[in-house]
Amino acid sequence: MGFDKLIFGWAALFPIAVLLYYFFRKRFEAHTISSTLFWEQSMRETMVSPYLKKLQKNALFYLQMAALLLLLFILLGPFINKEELSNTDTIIIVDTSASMLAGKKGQSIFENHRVAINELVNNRVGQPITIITTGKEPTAIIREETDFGIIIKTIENLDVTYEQEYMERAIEFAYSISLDKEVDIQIFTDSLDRTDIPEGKSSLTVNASEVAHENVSIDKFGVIKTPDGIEAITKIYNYSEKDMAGTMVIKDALTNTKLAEKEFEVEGLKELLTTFKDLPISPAISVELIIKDDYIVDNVAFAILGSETAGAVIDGKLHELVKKAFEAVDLPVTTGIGNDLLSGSEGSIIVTNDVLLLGTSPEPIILIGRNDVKSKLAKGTVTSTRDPLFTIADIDDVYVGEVYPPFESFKTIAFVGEDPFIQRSDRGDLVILSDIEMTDWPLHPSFPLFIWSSVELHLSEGKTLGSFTPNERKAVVGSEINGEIEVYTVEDEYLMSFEKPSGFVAPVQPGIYVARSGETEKLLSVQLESVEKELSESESFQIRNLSGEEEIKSGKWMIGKLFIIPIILLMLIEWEVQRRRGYPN
Amino acid sequence: MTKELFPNKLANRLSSLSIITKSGRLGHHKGTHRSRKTGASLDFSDFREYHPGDDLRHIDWNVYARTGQPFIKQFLDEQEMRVHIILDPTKSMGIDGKWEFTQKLAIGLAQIALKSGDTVSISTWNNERDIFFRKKGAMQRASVTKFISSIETPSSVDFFTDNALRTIPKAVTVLFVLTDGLEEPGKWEHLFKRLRGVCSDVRLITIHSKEEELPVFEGDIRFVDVESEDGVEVTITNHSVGQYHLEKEAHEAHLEILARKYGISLLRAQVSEGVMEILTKKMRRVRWLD
Repeated sequence: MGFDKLIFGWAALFPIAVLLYYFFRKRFEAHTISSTLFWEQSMRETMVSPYLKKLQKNALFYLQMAALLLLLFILLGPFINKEELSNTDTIIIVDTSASMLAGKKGQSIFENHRVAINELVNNRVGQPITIITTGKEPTAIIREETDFGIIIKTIENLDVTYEQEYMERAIEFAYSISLDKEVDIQIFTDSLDRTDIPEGKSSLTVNASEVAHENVSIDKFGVIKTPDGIEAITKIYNYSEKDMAGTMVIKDALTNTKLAEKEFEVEGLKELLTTFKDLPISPAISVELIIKDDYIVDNVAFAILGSETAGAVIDGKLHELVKKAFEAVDLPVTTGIGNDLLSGSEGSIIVTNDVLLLGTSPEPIILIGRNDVKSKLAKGTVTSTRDPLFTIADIDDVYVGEVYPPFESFKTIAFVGEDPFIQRSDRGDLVILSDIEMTDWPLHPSFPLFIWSSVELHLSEGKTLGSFTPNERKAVVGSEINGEIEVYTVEDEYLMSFEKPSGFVAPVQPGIYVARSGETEKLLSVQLESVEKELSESESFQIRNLSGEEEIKSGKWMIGKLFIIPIILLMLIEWEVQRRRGYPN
Repeated sequence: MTKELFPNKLANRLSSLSIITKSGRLGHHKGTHRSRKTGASLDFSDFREYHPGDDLRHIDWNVYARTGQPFIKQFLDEQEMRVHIILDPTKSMGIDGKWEFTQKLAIGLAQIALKSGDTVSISTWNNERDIFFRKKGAMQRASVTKFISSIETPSSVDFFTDNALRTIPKAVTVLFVLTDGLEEPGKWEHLFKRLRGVCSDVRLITIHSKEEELPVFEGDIRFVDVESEDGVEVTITNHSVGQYHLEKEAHEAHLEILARKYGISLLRAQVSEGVMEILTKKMRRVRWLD
């Protein structure tokens, strides 16, 4: 047996009061006198108030009554929802994804939640509070903090990071930092399904947004260069059930000048494709929907000209593993043979062993092996130079059996013993002087990484760094990018800087940014993930899967029941005594 | 015991006293008290004209001889008094030495009355029955003393004022009521009203003990009424004692007013004063005795 609600210890005052009443009750010495006529009257004088007299007479009864009622009250295990886990740590998981910015009448879910979190924290002053923000990498911005001021300040400073919430990761993270302790996890999000919650020991409260929001979002936005200028395509999706109408404005994202405008109407739960042709050439284009919906963030989209890679076209003669490697880096892969490789491959990376293509391809290609000369046995180990290509993938432990003769004019970036292994042309062509069959490289994890770096490099040869999702951590690879990268907005406002290209993290807010590294200046766009464009709502709920605690609770309830009958009996006896005998005075 | 309670020595000191009453209503028997009525005593009172029907034997023949008119010679009548003494037998009389004092007082009054040849009756009651005693003549003094002395210490819990009237005989010349007066004034008023019809000379003697006059208590006292056994819890302070005195004085004053209103004479007697003091001084001072 034990007590876990020692806080109710103050109720001991009641029995003590009753005890004191008995101890310090006046001890009246009995004297028999002829008549109490005069004394009685003198007493009557002092007891002016009949209520006071009544109270005095029945003080014992009232006290005992109060004590018993209180006992009963405690045994019933009273609780207020908010205070139910009053002695445990609280972990607050705050969804900071873009969809939290949705909201009616300008009051976003996030702001509503901020108020709710403040309220929650106010009710738990002095208790350790941990706040976790969501994202690909959930972060505990404060851990087991008890300083109320700090907690409040932290809550004030909470902001949306636009990144997809990855709620499961955040919950797992909360479980992991709570260790085996019993914690109360409070989740503040827009919607969360019960089935998405990983199993855990702690009790969990999901505070979701129960309001459905009207939303029209730009599902896709792309620009292509045509002979007559730029063609922009937008795909709008109406997530609400009623028809919505508005205006679509195409702007030059760098100068913010309006390029085109179109009114549109989209039916409920339908999509709408719109094309804008012959737009003036601009490196970055934005589209904005002017519409009255509850979610503004997804009403803007950006596109950078030439940043899109159509995919990779791989020579059918190459080993299957090459294709696999390109697929592994999420590139649409097509295969072709001979001249097919060139047709319709604009913007694509051509991967072949056909040396002829080095001269005929308009864009740099990747050459794996040579079809014009014979290979020879390679001697020695692989060494690489300090090339951006190898910043991520280290190829030193790769075994190479045979190598082809090198191109004399190309720059060698990796050797096998004395022989060149990987070369690069001035144009950016990449030459691997070995067939896949001649090396164990494809078995190394560095192979797909190298391929990925090659693709990134290929892209970065253009004017852009590509497209990022908010807060995305992605290494930036490029021959012109070395050392520190600084990020500016299109208005030339400094945002942040990174010491190494590999540590690059995209800005949080969607938009077009300029990355500068030395003399080089490249555009990058930050786009919302498509998941964040879709709003959903769900009910708030609570999961109390505290299997252990539940047993304890039921045990307590049993004890309580056992006590109730004696208490009722006791009360009946007291009542009977009172009724029969009253009090002698 | 009899001797101890009321020694003969004391009785002798009372021999010079007699009860004075202005009450016209005397007994029918011959006694020693002169009545305003004409009667058979030797003392001459008056002459009056003869009217037919008068006793011929009372005609003063000497006067008839001188005047030729028949005159009746009248003498003063000597009549007896009927004295009744009622004792308050409620329990409250039994403590603080009040009962012994009351017995002595009753004996003293009875002695005085008997010596004058009057009829003395004594009444009281206990829980089972009424007690009544009547004697006449000086010869009965000893037996009255014995009787009074033999009355047990009171045990009645009934109200005195409710039961007193029942025990009083008819045709009483002087009624002595010996009580402590510790009942509600309303009840006394009720009794007083009816006593007037029984006797025209009612004398109320309220007996007070020293403890009642000057309560000496300290601390928290639970006073238990000897009759009702009700308890009153009092913390003794100057204030509460002062309050007690005020209440007591008010009660006595009220009783006095009521007595005066109904033509009843009232005398306060304290146990500490002593019976002889009351009989020989106080009662003479108020012209009850002479």
